[in-house]
Amino acid sequence: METFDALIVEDDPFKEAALREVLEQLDSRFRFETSVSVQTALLSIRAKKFDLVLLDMALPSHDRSRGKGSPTSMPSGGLEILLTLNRLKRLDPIIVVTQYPEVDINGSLIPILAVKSAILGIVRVNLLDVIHYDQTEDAWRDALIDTVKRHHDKCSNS
Amino acid sequence: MAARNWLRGLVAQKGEGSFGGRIDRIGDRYNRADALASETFISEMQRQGELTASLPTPPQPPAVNNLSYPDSMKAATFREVFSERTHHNEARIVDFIGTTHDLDVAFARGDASLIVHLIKKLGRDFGYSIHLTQRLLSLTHLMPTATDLVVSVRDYTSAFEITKRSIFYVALEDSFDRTRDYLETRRTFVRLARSGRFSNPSRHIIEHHFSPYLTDSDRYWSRAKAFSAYSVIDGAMFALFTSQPEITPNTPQKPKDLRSALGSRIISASQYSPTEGLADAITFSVNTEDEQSGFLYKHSAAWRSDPTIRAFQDAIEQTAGRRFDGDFSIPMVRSALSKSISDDDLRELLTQPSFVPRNDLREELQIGTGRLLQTLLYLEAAERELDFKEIDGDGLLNLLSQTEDVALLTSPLEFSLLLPNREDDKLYELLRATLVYDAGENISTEYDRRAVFEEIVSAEYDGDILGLLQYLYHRSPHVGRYYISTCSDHFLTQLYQLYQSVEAVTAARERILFWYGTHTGDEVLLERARSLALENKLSRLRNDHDANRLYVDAIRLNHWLQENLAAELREIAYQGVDELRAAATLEEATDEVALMRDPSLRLGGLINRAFFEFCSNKSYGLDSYVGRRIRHGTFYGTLTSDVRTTINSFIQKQQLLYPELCLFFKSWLVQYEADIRRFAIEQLQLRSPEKPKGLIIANVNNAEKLLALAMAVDDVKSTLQSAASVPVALDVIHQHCWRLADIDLLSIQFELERLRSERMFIDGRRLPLTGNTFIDDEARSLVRWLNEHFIEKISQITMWFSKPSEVTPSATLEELFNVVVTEAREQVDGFDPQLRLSETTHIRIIGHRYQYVYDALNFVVHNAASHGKRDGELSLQTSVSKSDTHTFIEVEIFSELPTDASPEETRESLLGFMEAPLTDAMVTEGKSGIRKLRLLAASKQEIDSVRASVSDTHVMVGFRVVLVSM
Repeated sequence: METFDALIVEDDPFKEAALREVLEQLDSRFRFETSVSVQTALLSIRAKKFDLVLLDMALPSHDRSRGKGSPTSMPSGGLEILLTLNRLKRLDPIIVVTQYPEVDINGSLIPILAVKSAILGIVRVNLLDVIHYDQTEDAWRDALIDTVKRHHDKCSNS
Repeated sequence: MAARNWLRGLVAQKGEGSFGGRIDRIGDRYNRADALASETFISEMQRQGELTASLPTPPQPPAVNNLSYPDSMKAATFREVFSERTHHNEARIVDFIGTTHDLDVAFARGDASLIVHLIKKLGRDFGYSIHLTQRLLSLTHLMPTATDLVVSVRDYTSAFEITKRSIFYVALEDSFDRTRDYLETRRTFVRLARSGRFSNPSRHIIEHHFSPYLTDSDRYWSRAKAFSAYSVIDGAMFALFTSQPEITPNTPQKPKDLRSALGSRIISASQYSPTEGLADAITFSVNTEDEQSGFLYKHSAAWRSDPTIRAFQDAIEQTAGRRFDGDFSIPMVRSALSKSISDDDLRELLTQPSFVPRNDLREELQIGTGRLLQTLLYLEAAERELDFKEIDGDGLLNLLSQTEDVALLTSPLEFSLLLPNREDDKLYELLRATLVYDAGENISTEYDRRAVFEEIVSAEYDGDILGLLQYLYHRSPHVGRYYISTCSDHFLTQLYQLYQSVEAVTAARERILFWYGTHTGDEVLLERARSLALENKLSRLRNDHDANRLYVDAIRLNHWLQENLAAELREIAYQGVDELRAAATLEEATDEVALMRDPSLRLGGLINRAFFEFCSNKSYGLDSYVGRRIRHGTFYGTLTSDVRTTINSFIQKQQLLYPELCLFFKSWLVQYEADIRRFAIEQLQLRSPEKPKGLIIANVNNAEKLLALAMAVDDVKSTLQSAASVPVALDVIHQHCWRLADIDLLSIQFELERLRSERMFIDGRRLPLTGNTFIDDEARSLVRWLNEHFIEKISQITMWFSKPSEVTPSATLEELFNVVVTEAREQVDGFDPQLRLSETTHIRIIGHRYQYVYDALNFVVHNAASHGKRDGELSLQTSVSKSDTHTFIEVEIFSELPTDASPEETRESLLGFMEAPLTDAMVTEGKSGIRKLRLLAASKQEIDSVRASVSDTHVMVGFRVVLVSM
């Protein structure tokens, strides 16, 4: 059976579980990897291509491992993943999913509606959408499902 | 009387039309005393903004905004006024030129006392001028140790400091300040001047100071008006030393330049020979020939009256002035370089290993040698759009080591032409990416530079960053220094392929600083390296401690297992283990009657008892360590201290104007603190009828634990079957207790995340916005900071809830004390003691003793933090004695009493704690530190002799550490 490799880059386990659940319900062929920091996300990205990357923007620099010090908080850590994909000339489909109504890009807080164009002004990546994750509402689920479906349809037709 | 009436008239008209008019003729109209008094009065009124006026030689620095700046006056008219004005003051101007020349000569000869004498004379006789101010500010930066000179300059410049300093004065001073980057200073002031932020005279004075080369005659006239408005001296100096740009057919008709409007006496006074040795005197303090020309250039604005220095500055400004201003839009005027060097020569000159200056170039260009000339050659190459296709990494390194600021003097587009990609040469790519980044800093260029940096360190230096830095520094100290300063914590943190943890990042930074400090012998760097090493050590100790925060005293638990379970286990082993099985259901596993009836479940029952003891013993069990190391203020302090401080600081600033917004944060904080307190009191507990929500459950209560119990039964069975001893089987049981506990610890981790997600996370959309963009942005930033802070802190706390690391922690007593104080600083608001430590004991405390001593210090320090003077002194005194079998460390910790505390009441209260019953001390919170310490001493032979005393000013709590001598 064909499978889809998905990478979830997310340091909030609740949000990660919620994202995974939506994708699992949408298509049982998804196989998941999770990274909780910029450093391990880069390792995953460099190791193989993904059929879908769900990316949080504010991430810790490194995994928290006991006895090895607290990681640094990187408000635009997700950008590092996008810049690396850009450098590797990779077009893995990406959906940014953030809990914040603004995203820190280059030290400026960009309203979520303008984030996609701001990112595409910096890097050439296959950014499908930027979704605001609000656990108290269902809008993010609908947006995620819709974006993934549209992407699948587009791939099937091409 | 006549002068007074005249002044009244002037003030009544606000000085209108005073430029070059009535004020200049004061000396003709009135006697000397009246004229001086009138000038002083006008100067004062001008500075206070009562008059718009320009004095020929102002006795005080004029307020630049209140000068009579004849903005709309036609150039020809201005020239006439100027001519008349300078003619009228001809003697003064001639005298000024002569005296400043004398000053140059005295400086070139190093005659400090004559310099001081001339400075005083110039100030006294000619008042304030930009020309003199430039010269004097340059002098103080050239001779900072000549005390008399510095004082005499300060006497002159102090008048600028009386009120807010004129912006042009700040610009002048910053431009000569060696601690500032000249290019950055120049670009900042030129940009601000051109942005229209300053009044016209300030704008033109600043622009001319940095960027004297003119291509536009309108600017020539605007600047002339600005200088003339400041003083007649400045007008004349501008006319003498600045040429009007050539008039092209496209420019409107302009009158002849101002120089020709000056009287012949002024012209001939200014035509003296270059002052011998002046340039050498200016560059005297510069050690390397490489940097002398550059240094001279930075000071040249102050010495333009000298023909050699003027020609030197003009040659450079003409060639590269626009680029120094940050303007790449207009091609440079082709200098002598264009004619003197072919393209190939230019390439070769720029990339050879060491630059040998050609004499013909030096003479022709009059721009000395060294890095400045190389930089100008490079800019010439950029102007010609040459490419350096043949250049490799080493060649580019040569170029960079012999030039300066090329990245800032070249546009990103020019770089793409000059330096095409060469992916096979990593050094070239690193230098190229760095230049592109410096030429246009943004997130992409920053990333590219970092990526190439990482690639070269991985591929060519085996992952050792120091290897690359040492190579670069060895080849070119100039370039090496740049990269060393690039390696900040933030930069290193983002080298994700090189460093897999934050600890590795800080270790790398420490190595770089130590090497560089040692290599250069720079004490400041070494001090930073040493302090970073200490911080890292402390941080490693804290990390070690975090990895061992949860603990169960293995020695005491093993005693209990031996005393209570060994016999039964021996009996089970004797009877044979074949029939033994794990409980199949939760009921079977927990039903005491079933366990008694069914002998096959005996082993499972025995493991259950061990697990219960493991979790619940009030002295050495898991819950007691959660109590003493997490619940005891640590959990609450870690989550609330920074949050409270940050929110209160926001509220303090905004309360008055934005009460609704502040109320939002206030209410949220109250709720937040209650949630955190409740979580600790209700959930970070051993489950019991009193604590039904407790997350540590000392029995098998779910399917996962049932499975873990089955594995434990199997393991112990096979241990007994393999004829291993009962103590080994007990050790296996101990290990399985951790596996069973792990299930609860995971559930605590999960609940902590739930707490963060459901109770701590703030939805920024709920903020009651004020409509003030600045304040609303600040509030949003605060919310973001809080949410990120929660993620960080909860991740940190989550790590506490896991089995301690296998590595045995160790530290000296003083190191442990530092760790404990650092933690308390983070957990108790305002706790910032001044530490005093006695001589170090040098005794390392290892293993379980480490745990005991940490706990003992923690109780005492938290006690001092909670009840003592928070910013007072906290001292640790230790003494060591030895017997044949033991080493004893006496520990005494002194903290200051709060100013409002009564020593008697404190003594009484302390006595109460010293005598209070000890039961439950480890698992209760609030005023329990001394009791916990006593209980620790009562139950561990390694800690004893707990004592406490109170003087009028201090509280002392002490104990003794007993170590068995090896």
